[in-house]
Amino acid sequence: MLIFFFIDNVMCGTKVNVVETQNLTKIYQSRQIAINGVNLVVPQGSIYGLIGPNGAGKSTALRLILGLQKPTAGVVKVFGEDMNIHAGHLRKRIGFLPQTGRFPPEMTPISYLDLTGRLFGVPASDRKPRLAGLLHAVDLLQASSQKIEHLSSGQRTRLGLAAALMNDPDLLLLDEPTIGLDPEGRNFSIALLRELRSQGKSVIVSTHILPDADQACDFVGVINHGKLIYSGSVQEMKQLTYLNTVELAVSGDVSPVIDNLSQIYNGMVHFDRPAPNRLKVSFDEKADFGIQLARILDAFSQFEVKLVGIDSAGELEDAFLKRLAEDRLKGFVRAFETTQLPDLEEESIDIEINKQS
Amino acid sequence: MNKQAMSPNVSTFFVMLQYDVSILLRSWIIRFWFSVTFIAGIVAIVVSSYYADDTSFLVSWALLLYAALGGFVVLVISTSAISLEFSFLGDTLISRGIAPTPYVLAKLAARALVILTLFNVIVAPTAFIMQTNAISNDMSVFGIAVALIYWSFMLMVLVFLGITFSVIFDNTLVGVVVLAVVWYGGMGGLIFIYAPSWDHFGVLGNLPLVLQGKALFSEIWTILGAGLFALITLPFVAVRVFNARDL
Repeated sequence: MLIFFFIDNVMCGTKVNVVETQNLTKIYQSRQIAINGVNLVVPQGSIYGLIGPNGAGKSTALRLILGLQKPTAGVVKVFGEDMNIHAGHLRKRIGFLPQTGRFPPEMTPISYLDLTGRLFGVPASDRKPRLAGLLHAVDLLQASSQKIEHLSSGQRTRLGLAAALMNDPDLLLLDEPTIGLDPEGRNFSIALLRELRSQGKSVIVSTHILPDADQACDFVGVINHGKLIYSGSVQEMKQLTYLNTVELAVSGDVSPVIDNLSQIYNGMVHFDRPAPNRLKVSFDEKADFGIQLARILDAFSQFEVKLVGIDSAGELEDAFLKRLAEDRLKGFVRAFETTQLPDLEEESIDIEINKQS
Repeated sequence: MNKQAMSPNVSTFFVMLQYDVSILLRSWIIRFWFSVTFIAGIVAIVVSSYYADDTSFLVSWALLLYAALGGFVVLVISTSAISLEFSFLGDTLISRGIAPTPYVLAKLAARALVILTLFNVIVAPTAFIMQTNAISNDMSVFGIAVALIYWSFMLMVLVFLGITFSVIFDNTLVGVVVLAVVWYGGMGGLIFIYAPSWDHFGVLGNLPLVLQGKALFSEIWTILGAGLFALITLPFVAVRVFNARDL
């Protein structure tokens, strides 16, 4: 899917990648490897979720993209230009919501948003109405004259969101935007992301709350111990876990359907009932997915079961956990196989010799 | 100047300058020090109107006290300028489209502007009122002007040093202590080397002569040259150190 996106957006010359990193690496002075050789591509107009466990390196990745930290190695390009601490002109096109929730403590939401707008170079005529509109949108009008140090963590997150939108940015970097928010606030944030995407904005959102990423993101990158272990569309990631599996929403008694089909398929199709009105069907990888599904639907009509809906059976959380487990396993395998691994250099020389001969 | 015509770095410099000046005007240290020096200025005028001590001697002591006590206020204000903001600097200021150079320069300019205003608004009128009202005046207008310029330069160098330390040390308290050792150690060292005696004439040195308008031009240019060198060099050091940091 990413390849199609690339062909559509880059080859046709309509859109570009807003963020590209090449071999991005960050090692802190304490010798902690925060980011390790990350190659990230974020297409314009998409919502890209950086997901990973706590301490995986998501926040560091965002700060590197914003130029607040210097990479130990590698390159960050934003809007096609090199990003670094001096690139204030690029940051003027970016909205950033930090995770820390720290602001100048003596300021009020109004004075801070006004300062933010002035730093971004928003003209005074646009600044005041936008400031009022954003305070209203994030439900901070009541607290707009209080000192920021007296705001709750949820209110600070919402203030950060308002500040990130003050410049009407082309790219938004959101570090855990739903953390500390009540369900209404979370829904608002997710709806906002979708609204921004519909306006053609690009968003990179780091989160460890996977249902949020599932609801909002087009693409996800899984970071673990500083390494990007997966990058692709959300659907592809789900499918990696549940290949050839669908979940059917039904009305009616599906027990006779299951009995009947289990006898016919004899192990080629597996049925599971996660809820009384839902049927999870897993096909053998060798089976023709379309034909088998058509047969099931025929059986439904035969036993007067009504099909209400078809969903992808995979959950992002399952896919994420599977990815992490695979990565961890790879680590163990590498650790134990080091003595048995063939000499890669010798092997590559052999291949070259064979090719020449 | 038309704001639209300004380059982005210049406009962010002025926004940061205004932001920092507003912080300083709300600072209780600034308000306290302004009140103390205002009262001290009135006391100095009253004393010079009733006592026969030479005004150059009185003003010299006042300036020396300003360097010692006011120096500490300046040191605290300048050393806390950036280090107090490190916890939110990257997230809430630099991320909003600022490059480090206008940020650091705005801090230098704002702190220097406020400190110089605080000093000159009190000390200059006090010195000139003493010159006209005192029983025994021996100061000249030229002498007062030179002394004020010397002290303004000294305070600016201290501000620039403080902000450079503020970039180097995350911890404000450590920065204040290190700079206090450098500043007071340097002052004590100079007095120890140059003072001919440990009485008040020795400690004041040539300052009363400067106020009397008897400063040598070679001395004036040497002091101004050294001050200028520090004022030009320190911003480069501060910006360079700041650029090397992760925010």
